[in-house]
Amino acid sequence: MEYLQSIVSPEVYWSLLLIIHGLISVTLIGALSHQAFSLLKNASPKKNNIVARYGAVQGSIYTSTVCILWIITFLFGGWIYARYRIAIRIPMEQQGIWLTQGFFELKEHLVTLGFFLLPSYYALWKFDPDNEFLFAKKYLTLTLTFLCWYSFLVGHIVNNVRGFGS
Amino acid sequence: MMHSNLIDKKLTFCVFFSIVSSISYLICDLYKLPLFTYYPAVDEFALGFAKMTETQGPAMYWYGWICTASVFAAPISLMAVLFAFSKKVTNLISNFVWILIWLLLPVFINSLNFYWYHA
Repeated sequence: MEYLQSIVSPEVYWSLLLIIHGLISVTLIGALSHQAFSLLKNASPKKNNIVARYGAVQGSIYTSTVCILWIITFLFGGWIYARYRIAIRIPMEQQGIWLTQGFFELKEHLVTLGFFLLPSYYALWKFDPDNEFLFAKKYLTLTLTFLCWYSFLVGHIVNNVRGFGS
Repeated sequence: MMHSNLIDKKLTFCVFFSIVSSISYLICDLYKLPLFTYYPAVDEFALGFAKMTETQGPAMYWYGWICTASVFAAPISLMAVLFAFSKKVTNLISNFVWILIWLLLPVFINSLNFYWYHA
């Protein structure tokens, strides 16, 4: 990383990290949405429409992937967050962009709550082969999906308002 | 039977960890209880809660809150496993762990009042 920092400007370096963070979060959104959809829809791969087929997956196969992706995205976000505090938040405060910052602060709390929910999410999906906790799995997955979509959109908006190097 | 007990214990630990760490995180945020403070401008740490200074720049507490919440939640979750709640109680808590987020959400939104009313 030090080598990368020595050959590119700080703006490019942090923008690259932000892009990686964004790309991993896209895969996380995909995995979570797919899993959530499989719980919502009474789908079947035999039905001849894209919605039914999209939901006709075995939800449990996404569990480990979701946990790993959430942790990686969270770590990347935490890494970039320090730079955000200096290079993004201070200029936004000076420009009086408070509402956007408020939504971003809320994102910070929500992704952390999502991070703390991961052990439950993993345990419920992995240690319950008989679907005793189907209700919990369904609403926990939907909650994590909401948190993920909210965080992705707010992060995207903040980047639009003031990205690294702007 | 032994395998089933082990799974129950793992589930109990995970569910309690989620609940206790989430509530602890909220308390850390509301009462300013980070394990450490980070100064990103100078890449320095201070133990516990430390204010922003002119030489060190803005202070960050988020990392410290996560650590406090985790450190607090881990032993309590272990105690929950040792305490061995009845299967009915554990099942009930497990089924409704997701509600916690929706209960905490209004408190977090309210804690950010400064941003909503400053706009």
